[in-house]
Amino acid sequence: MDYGYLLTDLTYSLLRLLTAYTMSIVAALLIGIPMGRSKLLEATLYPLIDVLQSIPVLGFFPAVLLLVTKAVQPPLGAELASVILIFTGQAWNLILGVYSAVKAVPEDFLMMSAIYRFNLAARLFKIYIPTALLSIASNSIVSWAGGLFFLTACEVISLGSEEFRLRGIGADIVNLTAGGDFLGAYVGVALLTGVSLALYMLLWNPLVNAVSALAGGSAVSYPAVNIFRALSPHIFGRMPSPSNYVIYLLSTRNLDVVLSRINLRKLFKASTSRVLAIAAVLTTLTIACLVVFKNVNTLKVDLAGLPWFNATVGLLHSLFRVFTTILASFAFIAFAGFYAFEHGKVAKYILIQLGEVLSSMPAFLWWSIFSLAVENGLISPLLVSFLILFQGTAWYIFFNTPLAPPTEAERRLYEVAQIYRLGVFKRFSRIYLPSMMPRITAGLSAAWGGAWNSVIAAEYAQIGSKTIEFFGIGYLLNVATIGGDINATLFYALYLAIFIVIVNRTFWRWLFTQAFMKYRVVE
Amino acid sequence: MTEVVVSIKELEKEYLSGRVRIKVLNKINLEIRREFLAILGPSGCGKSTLLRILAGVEKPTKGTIEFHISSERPRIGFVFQFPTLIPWLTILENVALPLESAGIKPKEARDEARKYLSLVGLSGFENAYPHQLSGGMKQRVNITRALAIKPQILLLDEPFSNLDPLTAEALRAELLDIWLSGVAGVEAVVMVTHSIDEALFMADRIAILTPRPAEVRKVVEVNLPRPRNRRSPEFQKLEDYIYEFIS
Repeated sequence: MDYGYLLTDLTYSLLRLLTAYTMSIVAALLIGIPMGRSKLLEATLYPLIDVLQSIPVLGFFPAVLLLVTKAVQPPLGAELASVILIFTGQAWNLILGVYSAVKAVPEDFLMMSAIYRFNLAARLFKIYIPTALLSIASNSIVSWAGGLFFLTACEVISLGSEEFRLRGIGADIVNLTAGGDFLGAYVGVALLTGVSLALYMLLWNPLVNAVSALAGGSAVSYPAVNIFRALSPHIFGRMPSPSNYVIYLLSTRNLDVVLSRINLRKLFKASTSRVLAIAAVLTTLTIACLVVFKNVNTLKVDLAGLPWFNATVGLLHSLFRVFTTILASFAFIAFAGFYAFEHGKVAKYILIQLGEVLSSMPAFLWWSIFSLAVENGLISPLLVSFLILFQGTAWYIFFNTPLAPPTEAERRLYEVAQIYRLGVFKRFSRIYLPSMMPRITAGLSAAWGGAWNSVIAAEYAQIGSKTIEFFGIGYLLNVATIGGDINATLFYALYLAIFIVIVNRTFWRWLFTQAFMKYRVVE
Repeated sequence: MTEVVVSIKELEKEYLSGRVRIKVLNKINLEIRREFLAILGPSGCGKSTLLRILAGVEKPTKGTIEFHISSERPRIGFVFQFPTLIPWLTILENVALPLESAGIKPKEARDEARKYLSLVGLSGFENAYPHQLSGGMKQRVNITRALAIKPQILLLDEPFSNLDPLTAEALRAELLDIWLSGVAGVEAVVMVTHSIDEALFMADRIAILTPRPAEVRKVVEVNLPRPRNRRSPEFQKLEDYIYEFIS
């Protein structure tokens, strides 16, 4: 089989992502900077963007697609709609990042620019735009992953009898899976994952490392291959990250040296019982989640019935799944983050790299990856559904916790824990978890939005001849979209959006305030 | 009598905290001459607020400040308590930026910045970034930036309070040398501090403020010869004298 066209289509997908990313940067600069400086703009735009970022994009996509394709002739219409969808997955994070960064410009800087009479151009180009660009670089990892998450969804979509199919790697993988060419689908998945990984190692991670060094020499260090250094074999020996060790290994075949540097003994020095205890907790949680999922699926409603009733019951079904997944994600990230925190650079690098690649997997691709196993009954579709929800949820918490280095004040707390020889449980429960609570809560509220997007991918799929269904609001949205019922699609999407926004602005806001007030570590 | 550079008359400053008005400065009357003036007072009394009003970044609630200098708007250099260097600009760019903002061509601004960096012993660090420097070096850049604009009035906001004692002492001596040699062309230096020792070591006069709302309790002339010796009986006598007004 010739799969060469996958490379061309991958380029199409990447161009789509790049276009949306460029649009997001422009939007972040044009909206984020004025919003950070003007109280009036802040008061008007912040709540609007806060609401917009809470809306499950996948739910509204069919309606957007319909509107755009009616306004702009195909194939440009579908292309534009897909770029808009990816843009919505990337932009809000960047805009709010720039806004927060500009707002956080220290008072002393503003005073200094007033004392030295910086003109508007100097303030803009020497303070605000560099501040904004630093924030954009730091938030690009999350935004890029956000864009990739929507990649498949925006390349193939059925709206009643009409099907919009764009050239792209996402569409290819879906087509190959539907056509039973599992080898082709796996080649596509491998290609996409490989390119994602390469982009992180060669572009995003070195960029974030450079930016954080410039902004004050923070201790963050993302796994990265510095290609300039990699060109010189002389310097291989001084490379710090595991990825560079691989290059070193390939270039010198000096396994002993590599292993001695990674210090495997140190990496795995945690006692077996501790690892087993963590594994046991995670397994119990996973089983509990699956039981909940299975039972939730037993209740069905009449689709022809009242939309209000359907939407409410569907929402409650999905809500149960979402909350269970958020809890499981929280437990996983808390344990994994703590383990990585305590076990130095290598464990942290592995976790970061894993998280980056997993977070970049388009949601619908999980069905393709496991299609063969599901088709043959080797894996329950329930597990795949849970995986999709878990992936769409966990990484939001993940990007807020293990990736962020502890502040100076937090670091001192850990030093206190070391000096007074606190046991592992106390270090976790009394120091690590509380100090991470403000970040974890921020991650949880972001995960809440992410989980609802995943619900749309997790509750309905077609694999070959099989249709996988799990009743919920995501299922209802899918059925309405496929049936071409645009009114029902819009109704369910709007119903879901209103619910998400209400919970965001009540429960999550309250929880974050509580966590921030109680657990913020200050000098 | 020495020429007056700045006259502060009946200056008051109030803040609104919720619905409560908090008075920070109360009827401040002070004349700043061609001198090194230290403003001494307990923490939180409003010393820095007074300095910010002098710098023109805050407005007084009442009262006036008159500058008796040749130019229309006084050129003011400000040395912050923390270095406040822009992290993404090199040391040279940090120092040159205020000059460029004042309309000097970029190349000339950089040449001028280089000259002042060498004055404080930072030649060779022009292309370094702030995070690559020690605390003392960063504060030197902070001072250089203030001097490079050729200020008529130099304002210092507790400039040595965040440095280790040895670095602080070295910087005090360097700053005094620059001031006394007249190379920077500064007409008056106003330094806010809460250290009696520092004020006595550096200043020609010391204005002692009361706790909030701050008023000028006493202005003390420091007629000790330079370089001053902290162990001299005159120094210690004056220190005890000032201490009575502070405590």
